Amino acid sequence: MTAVYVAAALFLLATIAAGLIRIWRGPTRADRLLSVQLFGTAGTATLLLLSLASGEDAYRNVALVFALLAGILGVAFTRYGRVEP
Amino acid sequence: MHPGGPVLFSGRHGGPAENAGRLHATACSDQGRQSRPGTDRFGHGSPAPELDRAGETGPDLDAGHGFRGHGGAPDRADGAERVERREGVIHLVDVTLVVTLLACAWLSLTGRDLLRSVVLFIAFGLLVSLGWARLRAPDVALAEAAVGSGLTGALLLSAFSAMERARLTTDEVGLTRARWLALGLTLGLGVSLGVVLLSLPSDHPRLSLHIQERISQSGVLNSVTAVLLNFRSYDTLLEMVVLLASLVGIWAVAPFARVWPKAPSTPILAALARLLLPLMTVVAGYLLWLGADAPGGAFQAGAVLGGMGVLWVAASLWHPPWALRMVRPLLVLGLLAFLAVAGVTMGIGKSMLEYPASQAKTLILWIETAATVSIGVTLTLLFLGGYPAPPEQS
Repeated sequence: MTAVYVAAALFLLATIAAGLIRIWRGPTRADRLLSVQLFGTAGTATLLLLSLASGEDAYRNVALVFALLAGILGVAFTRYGRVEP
Repeated sequence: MHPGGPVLFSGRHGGPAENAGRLHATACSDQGRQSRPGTDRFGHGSPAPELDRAGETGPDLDAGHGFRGHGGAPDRADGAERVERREGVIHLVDVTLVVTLLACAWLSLTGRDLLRSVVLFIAFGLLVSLGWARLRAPDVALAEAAVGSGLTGALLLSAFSAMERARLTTDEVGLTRARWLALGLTLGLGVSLGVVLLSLPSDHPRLSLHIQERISQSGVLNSVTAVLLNFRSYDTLLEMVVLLASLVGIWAVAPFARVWPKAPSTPILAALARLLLPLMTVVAGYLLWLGADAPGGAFQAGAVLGGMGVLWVAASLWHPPWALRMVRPLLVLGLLAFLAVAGVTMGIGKSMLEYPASQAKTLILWIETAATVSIGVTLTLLFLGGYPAPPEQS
């Protein structure tokens, strides 16, 4: 089972790497915002998987903070990351 | 096994392999005293057989970097094969992580589009946090996720927005010249850290041994908290001063910040804030309480409070008139708690911040609670930029 968790974590990391391309190429700010949100979600999931694989509960708390702060980042992005008219 | 593995990956638990068994045993007996069922820190399986194995096999302790098997002992050959396969996949995860990290860092530094660089930096922070988690340093991973990525990201975005509003470019704010200074400082820091790391004696009994010996007197079970709030609490006291000083510095140079615009923000943002603020309060309290016997504590909890502050400022939900009056007392609360305890401990004839063993946990908890509030308020105000100006009367 552990191998499955780790393989899933690897897949999620690959989606993060793919998201990096979207951040680089854009072209709009919404693309970049969504990529960051993807990173938050994928990062949370990766931490949960690694927590399951290693049996270290502490990563779940990191995942919790990840999820919350990714939401805050989304807020900051929509509020401050756009061109003021 | 590559030789660097065990040292790196044993992180705060460990050290040289021959000590590992003992350390884990100590940690586990500590764990026995915790009245927290179901929070087994060292694996879901039965910890005892694994401990024995760790003691016997020595350097193999970290086979698969701590990804020890679950449940009973599998058939020997089958188990070895499985461990090998798992190790292969986990190495792939690590390689992907490192490559993505480096790509993020490089692209973020070399790109011409400022917003893109900011976004890449945020992504970099998230990945660094994952990296710390892989290095089995959940304390640092927590702090990095909250401060390094979340709050710094929000700060950079708001700075970007301010620059854009003022129609400034990086050249006009002198960032191009500052870049060389930053490069020099980073190189200096990197080189000196590398020299120090390489010159560390590899067979030296590690600090964690001394900590484990004395942790029973510290009042807490988490070694990081024991160091931060007991053994070297004056460091933390000074860190509180540094935080306060940085804020005072910002207030000295930045214009007043208009805290609450008259018009409320969008309903979506308001709804999100109403949903997230209570949730985050609970999480901050949870992390604070957790700090006594697992990774967590005042800084992590304070960072979550800081995230709440960002949301509060961004959503511009409420503007209670008392909020502005509360700012200064709350800012110094943590420092005052620290100083009060320092004064009392010196008054009763002990050295500064040397808690009586029976009161240690209570004192640490009080200091941490006060520090959490102060850190949260400080981070919020750092995000805000200038001194919060009262809402315009009209």
